[in-house]
Amino acid sequence: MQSCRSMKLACAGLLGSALGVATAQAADSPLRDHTIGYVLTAKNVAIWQSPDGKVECPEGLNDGPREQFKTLYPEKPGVHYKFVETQLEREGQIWNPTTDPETKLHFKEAQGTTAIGLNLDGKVGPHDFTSPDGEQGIDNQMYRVLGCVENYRGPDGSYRHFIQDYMRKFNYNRFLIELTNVDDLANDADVDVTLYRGKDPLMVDALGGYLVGSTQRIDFRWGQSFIYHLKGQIKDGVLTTAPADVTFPESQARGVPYLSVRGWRVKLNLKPESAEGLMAGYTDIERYYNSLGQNWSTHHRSYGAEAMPSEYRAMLKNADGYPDPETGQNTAISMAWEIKFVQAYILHEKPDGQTITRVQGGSAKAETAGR
Amino acid sequence: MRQIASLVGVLAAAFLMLPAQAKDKPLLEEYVREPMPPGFKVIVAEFEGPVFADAKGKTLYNWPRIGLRNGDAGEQKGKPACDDHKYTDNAGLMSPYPGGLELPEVETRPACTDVWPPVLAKPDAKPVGKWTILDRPDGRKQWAYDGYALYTSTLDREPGDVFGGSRKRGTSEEGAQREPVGPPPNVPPGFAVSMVATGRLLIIGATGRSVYYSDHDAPGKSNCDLQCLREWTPVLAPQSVRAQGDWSVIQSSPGVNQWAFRKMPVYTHVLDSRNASLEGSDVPGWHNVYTQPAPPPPEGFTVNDMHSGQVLGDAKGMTIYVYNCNDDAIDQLSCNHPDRPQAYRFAVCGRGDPDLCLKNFPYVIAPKGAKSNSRIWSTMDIDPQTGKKAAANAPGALHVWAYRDRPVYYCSRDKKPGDIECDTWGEFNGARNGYKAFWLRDDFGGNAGSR
Repeated sequence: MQSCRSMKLACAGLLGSALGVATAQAADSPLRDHTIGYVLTAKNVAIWQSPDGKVECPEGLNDGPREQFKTLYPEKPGVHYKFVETQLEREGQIWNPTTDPETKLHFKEAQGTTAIGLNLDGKVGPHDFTSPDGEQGIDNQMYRVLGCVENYRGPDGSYRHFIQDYMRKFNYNRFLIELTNVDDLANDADVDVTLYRGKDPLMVDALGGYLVGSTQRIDFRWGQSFIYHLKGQIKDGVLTTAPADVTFPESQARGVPYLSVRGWRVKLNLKPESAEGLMAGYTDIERYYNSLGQNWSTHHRSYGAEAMPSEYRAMLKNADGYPDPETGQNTAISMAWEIKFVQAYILHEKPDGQTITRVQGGSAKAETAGR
Repeated sequence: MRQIASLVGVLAAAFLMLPAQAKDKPLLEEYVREPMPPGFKVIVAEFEGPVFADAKGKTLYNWPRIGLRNGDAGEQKGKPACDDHKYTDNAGLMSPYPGGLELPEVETRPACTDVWPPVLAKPDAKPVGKWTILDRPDGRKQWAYDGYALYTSTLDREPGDVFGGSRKRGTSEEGAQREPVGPPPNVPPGFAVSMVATGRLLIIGATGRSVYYSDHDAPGKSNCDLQCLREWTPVLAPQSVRAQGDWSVIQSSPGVNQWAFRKMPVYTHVLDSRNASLEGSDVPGWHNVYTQPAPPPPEGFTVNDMHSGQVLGDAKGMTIYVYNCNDDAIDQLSCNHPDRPQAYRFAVCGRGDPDLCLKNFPYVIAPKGAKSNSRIWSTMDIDPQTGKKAAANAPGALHVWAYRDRPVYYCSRDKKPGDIECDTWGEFNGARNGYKAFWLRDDFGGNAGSR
């Protein structure tokens, strides 16, 4: 079996021919040439919520920038605050955060032992969570930080809304995953998984649902830094990938930040027309923090009561991976996202020629000046 | 992965002078000759294109009203609002912070008219065409164009300077900006000009699609065959038009008229995915059409690929940054110039600490005797402790590169060519009080000026 594994394509072809039976690539199979692609349609920071929120957030949700400003600089008769000492001081802290205590502010970390995520280190540690379905050893310390921040909580946290909005609107965020060398979408111990940035819009139906089977071109022009070749396995229809350090785009269309995740991996329930599950890893704290500020102004973060300087302290406090060799301070924090894909045909365009002659929103008709 | 090439090489292709033009003559945008009152003229500025100027050559600006987060700012047509009131508090127009906070350097903060002198009309002045005369609240008369009151900027020193504002589009998060005013470009109906980082880009007005020309064509002749036509769509001209200025008409096939600009047939690119796109210029031999290209930066700067487009870099490819700032008072004065308060910049670059700012966002040092071929790029001496201009050779002063009369910077977080770790850094994604990479091309968003 092992020798055949190393020559999977040849073996599959030989068996199919020799037996004269349908292989996994029958005409109705989603696999084409042992390959299937998916395009990301939803991504949310994994936040477990109890029915009334009291389990994880017994003190309630956190204050945001507006509330913190009022706490720090309360309106008082005869007090005339200076711009430099108030607004610019707050912005200065956002862009130059420290771990100094915030004496007048109180940041509420998520409590309890339940969280959504993956066991990243293969251990069950004292700070680990248990998943809602009982799996122990879940590493998701970012949940401690963001679990009681309104921005991230369902169903209508502001960040949750806008991340989906710009998933659809902004092609910069297009995230493709392609499985190759696949014999069987239900069980295959050795598949190749490649991540790409796509460059085409998500196709939607009249009700806004994402359509299965769209074509996505790979962004070879600008997206080279988002291409990763990983190894994976499929067991009982669940794809898991080997950990790898990756970056991926995440933007709300104002800038073009990205996230950097160490030991990134997925656990996805695969179906011919969709895939759904988790991605997780150790998020680089500096990159995550800066990306948050670059994506979301203080105004925007106020929608969802998200106070970055307070979160920075909590991220470093709860950081659990990749210690700085000099200081010993962990530079990354375990984190998970809930993700959804729909199947897409990923087009590998030849470098010397375009294989699509028309793009969505484009027009092939003659432009007549003066009309 | 990253491309680094000298600007002379890469930008020369983007900015290529068309074959019909003399190689040593700068390409300038033609404009519509409109009637003007005496004492005014048009100057074709090196980046902004044709702008109106007063008798001394000072560029004219208006201040259109726009909606900000918590209210509007700027002027309505016919209603000058820039006056001699010295505001001391912010207006709270930008969420989430409140108004009523004492502004930085309040003792020396100028009034609007101190930095934006109104263009006054003589008592016997007469309106001409779009030029009209408004009554200011102080009883004086002021010139207006297209209904908007006109001003000059104290930042402009020589004819052709346009340091007070730009036509390059940003976002409303920048605040209510002043804009240079000029005559319309002399393009046929159906075409328009979009101000982007690389110049005055020719587009189709109704659709915003970019216009291209090809090295495979010859002046006055299209060689675009059937294969070519799959990807490139000729911009057709009506039968009734005639050649004028830079514009002519060729017959791309019998009975089919195609517009030509500076004698070269023009096309749109089927595969462009967005308006004012530069994507077609990736196809060998094809170029975007500019009515006027931007002046290249001084020798040694580079163009660098990053994960969304291209940014300007130094000789080693390290990304160059510009700093944006507009204050939050009613009169919306800029704070991105070294003559203006530096407390804003010091807050986001180093929490008020000039030394930390110098570490996080170092100035781009200019060699002694460095020269620029344009006014838009220059050198200046800066006192890094105050962030303001210093006398030449003053102790501790830095000799730095400046773009639009403002210093440019590095980001210490960038480690290799094409890194843009500090793009959109600061208030409102770097638009209101913060840093942005010097974008030249953005194939996804509007960072290079296109939408």
